[in-house]
Amino acid sequence: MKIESVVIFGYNEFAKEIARQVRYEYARLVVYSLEPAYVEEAQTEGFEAHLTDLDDHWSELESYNLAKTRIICALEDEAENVFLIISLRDRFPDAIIVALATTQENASKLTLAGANKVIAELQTISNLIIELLERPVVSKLLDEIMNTTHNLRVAQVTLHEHSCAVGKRLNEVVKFNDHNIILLAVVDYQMSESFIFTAKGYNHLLDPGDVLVVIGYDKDIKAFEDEIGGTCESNRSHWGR
Amino acid sequence: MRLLSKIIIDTAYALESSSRYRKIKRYFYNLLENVSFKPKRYFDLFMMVMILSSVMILIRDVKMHQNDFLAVFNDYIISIIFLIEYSLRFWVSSNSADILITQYEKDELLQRDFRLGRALFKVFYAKWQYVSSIPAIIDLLAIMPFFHELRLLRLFIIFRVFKLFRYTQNMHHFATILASKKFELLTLFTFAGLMIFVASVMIYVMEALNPDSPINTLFDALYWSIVTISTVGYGDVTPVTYEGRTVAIIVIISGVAVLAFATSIVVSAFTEKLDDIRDVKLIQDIQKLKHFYLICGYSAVTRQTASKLRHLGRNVVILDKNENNVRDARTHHHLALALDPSSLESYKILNIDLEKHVSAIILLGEADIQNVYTTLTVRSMQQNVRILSILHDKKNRRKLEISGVNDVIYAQELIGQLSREYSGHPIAFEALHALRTENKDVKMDEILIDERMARMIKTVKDLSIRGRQIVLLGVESRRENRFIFNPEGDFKLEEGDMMVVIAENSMLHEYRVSLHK
Repeated sequence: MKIESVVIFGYNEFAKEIARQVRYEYARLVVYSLEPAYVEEAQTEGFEAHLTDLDDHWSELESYNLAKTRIICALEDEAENVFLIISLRDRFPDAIIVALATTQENASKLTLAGANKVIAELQTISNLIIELLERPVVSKLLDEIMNTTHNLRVAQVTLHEHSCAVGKRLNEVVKFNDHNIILLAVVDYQMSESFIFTAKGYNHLLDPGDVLVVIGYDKDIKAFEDEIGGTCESNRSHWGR
Repeated sequence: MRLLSKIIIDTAYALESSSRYRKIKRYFYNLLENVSFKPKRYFDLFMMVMILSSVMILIRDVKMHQNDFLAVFNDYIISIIFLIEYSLRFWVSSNSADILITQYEKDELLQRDFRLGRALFKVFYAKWQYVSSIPAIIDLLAIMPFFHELRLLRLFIIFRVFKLFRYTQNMHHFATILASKKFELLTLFTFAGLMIFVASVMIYVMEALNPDSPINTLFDALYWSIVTISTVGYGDVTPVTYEGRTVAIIVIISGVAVLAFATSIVVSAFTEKLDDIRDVKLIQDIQKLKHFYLICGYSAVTRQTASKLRHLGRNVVILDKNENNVRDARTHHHLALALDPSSLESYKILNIDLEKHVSAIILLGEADIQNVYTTLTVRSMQQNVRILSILHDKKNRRKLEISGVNDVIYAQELIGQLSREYSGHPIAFEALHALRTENKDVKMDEILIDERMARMIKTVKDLSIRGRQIVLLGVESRRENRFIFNPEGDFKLEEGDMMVVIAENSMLHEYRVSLHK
């Protein structure tokens, strides 16, 4: 499943940065804003931008293939953001919605409203500060993984039915893996949605549909993916432009 | 005369240039006067024990006089200890050598003869100022040994008790508070003294001639008026005539006024000074901390960060110039001070060694300008302390970096990255970030290869990761100054390298222990 388009609601400082970060990754990026001034600003930056209101006119959105779309809600006003998510969730039960919140309190409201993932600003900043202070090497490593200019990255590989890893135990895959990658975790949707970290669940039996989370350099991940016979979901071929 | 002044000046120079002499003097100064000097606390405690035992011995002596070891201990040993203390205080109170040299050099500069008399006068004057200060007088009186023949001299025990004030900080605060209300207290005492005087005279005039009255002398009258005006009213001495009772009514009514006045002065002094005292106490507490994070600027991010750091067992001190913010921080039980983080004065008040005690300074000011300014203030004092700063506007990043910030935190970019990562591969993202949070049972952590480990462990193979449920993500190599992802078995490790591992909490703990064996 390849993500084709991203829809961003709002055009505040955070939304702007998100738009800049994802602009070359996906085929289509659309910004919706409640303020005409913001729409204009987004257009001058070169984004496809539209004016919208919080009334339920979602016909435009229906034209998207929502399975291949990510919706990011970053409206300036928290209450509007909650309202937007509730309306979107009501209309598109299967859409994947990412929301931005300032505080943890608002984050839980947005989750209640139906966002799949809420990123709380304050939480994120304070976590980053603490990580920089207490575990500088870990934070440097994560920064390297997050930063597009480095080749090190984290990716997810879904096992399909004919994958050679199916039927093996997790530790076997780890042991006979001669690629320069590290297998971080497995998600088994049949058991639960939570992670089975390699460091803990060595004896997990791999089924088709399991998702392997790996860290490594671009080419190694590609090679691993070919061998194991899964499909790598992250696509970074556009990066570095 | 000339020879004498030459000898004196030579001695002064010798003393001033002797680092040993200065070091010893410095040590005793700290021991006696410097509150943040640790041994002072033990010294104070010792002196307090001495004073209290001296009082105990005296109490034991009241009913039956004993001439045993304890009496000798009280009369001589304690007194000698006090005498030594007094001489040390006398010694460190001023720097005589410096005064002499200053005078000498001044005379040299003006090309006139060195005036020894004038210099010595200055030296003695400095010492006299110390000797005539109230604490010094109390000290001196407390030294007096107790002659058993003179019962009155036993009153001097009271000075030993007064000496206690020296060794307890709270008493010192109390004294400064009262000192701040000098004028009001003086007015009160004048008024009360006048009232007592008038009342004593009047009651004496009215009652002294009456044979039924218990007031016969002027001392009786004074005793009665003090007991009455203070609203204590023992009732052992009472006026019997109508005239005397009229005086009593007046004295009682004005007594209430005096008492109310006195109470209000003390209370208002306390309420006015309470914040100052709390700040002083707070600064002392901060100075005692060995390591702490200094956060400048109080905001929602500060609140989050400080609570989390506290949760990890770290000490956090918050500086903000806004009183309301500081009050808010204190309600969240943080160590907060209303000081402007961008002024040098604040750091002078704090009086801490930034490099030694501050693990990092975190700038969370509301504006970039403020953070740049604070950085420059800190950098003007200290080059090495680590500074983290939040960045509000992208275009100011360079300015923060130039001013000397080690790590710039730009929230917008970070959140942009997070959103991008999440849209691209949500599962991988969640897995990675689950490792970042503290309360999961599996976590990502750092292990430093210290000197002890470096002796046993030469390559990655020696870490014996295989067979354990630990994932070695990579090594931050000091030699190559970069992060090596998933190193080979024969990769050379050395002291100072940092490993990043993922493991279950208890496993991680066990592994750390095994590495040190």
